[in-house]
Amino acid sequence: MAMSLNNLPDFLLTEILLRLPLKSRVQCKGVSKHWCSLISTPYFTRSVVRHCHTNPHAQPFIMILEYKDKYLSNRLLVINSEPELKFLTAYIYKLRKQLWLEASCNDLLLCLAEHRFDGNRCYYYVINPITKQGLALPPIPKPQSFTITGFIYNNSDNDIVDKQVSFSYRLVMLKVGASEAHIFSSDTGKWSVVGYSKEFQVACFPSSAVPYKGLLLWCGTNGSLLAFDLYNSAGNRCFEIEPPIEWEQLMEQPIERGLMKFIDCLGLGVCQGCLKICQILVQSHICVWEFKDYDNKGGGEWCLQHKVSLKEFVSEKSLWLLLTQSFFITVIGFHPINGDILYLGIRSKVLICNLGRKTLELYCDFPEANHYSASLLFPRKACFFCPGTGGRLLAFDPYIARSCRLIGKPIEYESLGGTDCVGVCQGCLRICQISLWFRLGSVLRVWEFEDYDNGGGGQWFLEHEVFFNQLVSKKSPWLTQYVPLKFPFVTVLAFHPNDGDILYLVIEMKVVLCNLRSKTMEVFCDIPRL
Amino acid sequence: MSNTSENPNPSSSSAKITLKTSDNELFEVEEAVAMKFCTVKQYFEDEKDNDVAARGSSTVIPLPNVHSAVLARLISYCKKLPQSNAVADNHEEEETKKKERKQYGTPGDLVDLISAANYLDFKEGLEFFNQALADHIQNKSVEYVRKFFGIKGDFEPHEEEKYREEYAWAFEGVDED
Repeated sequence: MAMSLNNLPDFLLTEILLRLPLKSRVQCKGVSKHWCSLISTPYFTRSVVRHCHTNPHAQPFIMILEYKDKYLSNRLLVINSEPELKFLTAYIYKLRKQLWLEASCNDLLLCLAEHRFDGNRCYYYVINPITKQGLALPPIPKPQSFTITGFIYNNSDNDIVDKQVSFSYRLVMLKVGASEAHIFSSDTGKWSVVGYSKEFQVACFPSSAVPYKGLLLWCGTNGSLLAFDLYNSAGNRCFEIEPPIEWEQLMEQPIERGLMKFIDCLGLGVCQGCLKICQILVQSHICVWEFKDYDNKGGGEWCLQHKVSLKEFVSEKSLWLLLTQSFFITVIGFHPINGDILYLGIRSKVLICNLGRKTLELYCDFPEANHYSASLLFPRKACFFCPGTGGRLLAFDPYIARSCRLIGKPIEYESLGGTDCVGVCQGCLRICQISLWFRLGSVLRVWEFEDYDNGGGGQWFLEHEVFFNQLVSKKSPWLTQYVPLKFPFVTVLAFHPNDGDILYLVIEMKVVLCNLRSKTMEVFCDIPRL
Repeated sequence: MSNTSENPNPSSSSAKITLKTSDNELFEVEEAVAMKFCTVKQYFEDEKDNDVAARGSSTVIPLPNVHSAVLARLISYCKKLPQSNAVADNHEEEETKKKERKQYGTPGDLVDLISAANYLDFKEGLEFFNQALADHIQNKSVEYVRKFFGIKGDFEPHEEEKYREEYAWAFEGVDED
């Protein structure tokens, strides 16, 4: 019973810490070495994921919508489910100023940059908004026809267990006109082409691809799904999943009745790890099906979960909604955790539709929306960003993605400057400085970098410190004369790749070999004058 | 808190189980409540298998790791369990649950409750008290968490600085201690 806060057993401490929000969890790694190792274990990550699946509040999410505003330009609406995600929302808005958001998969975003100086190619980036890091993909030729892009990365439970597993992703570019898909694999670094049935028509909204158990799925206008199996050892495979049996043909054209227009719609998404599809027949009802798969490879069947007549919906807070419900409706997406909730777009509003309680409530407005043409308002893209999912924060390690890292200068380095050079000798990073300390004589120093983690952390050690007036030159005794007198002309050219004692200098248009151990200098060759 | 206040209504017809705490106090609780504690349930079922005749309140189940004050609180928590354990599905409900958790006592009390709930294998209670403790350190600074748990930071200053630089986003917008 003598248990207190500082001697809680690890398994109980784990149970407490995994209930913290993401930010606090990361902060707590800094409490002590013991906590840091506890929070970094695969067991902890797995426990967090398990906890998130049972508690909707433990898995906050962000909804990203792109739509056309009244100036007909594409605009972003980012909605955070919990206030703690505000910092991410702000970051995504900022990101949007430079990049187009193309797709999302769990906690990573796929962005597209159209380079100002290179109009023929496009540049994709995988961005982790939490750590604010990105990976650049090899540029690809800009497609000439209309394309839709989807993105998926390996996020099965097995991968989370081993955080060393390499980050492997696939990018699929659907060329709608040509009925072919261009697939990029990060494992091979190559693009490949897979054709699909010409009869398959991608639904214009939602056009976003849905990642599900290693498959990337698109919804067709007839309720069937186009699935890409991208983590198959036998190669990329493309197949179709049939629509539910109860699926009713959607009206392709709006029906006009008096001043009202009606149009049916459908939606595809993932909720609690299950694939869901829904259709709204504006004259009658909403149906939601869940996919029960039996082999994790796309085989399975749809089970009807909800069938609710539109007349049954009530709206307590915003009664006017009932008057407009038979207008243009779009399915924005499924709540990632709560299976009863659907997000709908009606006119310039985002609504929460609760199929269990049969309620319809206003969630938020599209700012500066186009009120006149409802069809333009259909969000072009909708994606969900779930920062709690997976162990990406651990596995998508900052060191892997960091492209630029500042290594501090050696302690003895003279800030007054001089001439210096950086190079590698015997696989070790080296830096050399010739100081401009005239009165005390010029000094040549060489430091070697000893890193302790291969990630840029380390220390400089002084290897050599030689005064120029100590140097002798047997074969060309005149050489030493130049050094103190015509100092500015002495520059360090390079390090010998294998011999740590040898430096190449340039003195008076001559390449000079300088041995720091024997303290000798010899002319190596001349630099031809032009 | 004494055990008499926890004694259920004598007229109640449901079966009773007697629990004996570390300080030798006897608690007579309804079977439905006691069965929430998996350790008790296991013990009870084993007893039943061994001796069919020895059933009901005649058996005393010893709980050498639980103090009477803690057990009293666990039992009272058990009794109001059904309404408080429903998953909140909107913000207001979550907020009220948070307030409820906050009223559940000092961190020291919570640790006692957690260790007792763990010993008794009382899942709902463990969940609730763990969350209550987590609420205390949510969005707090590292220094606050260290003080709260009585832990001394053992990182070198440069390691700590490096870490903070690496995860700068996590250190933005921390609540006042």
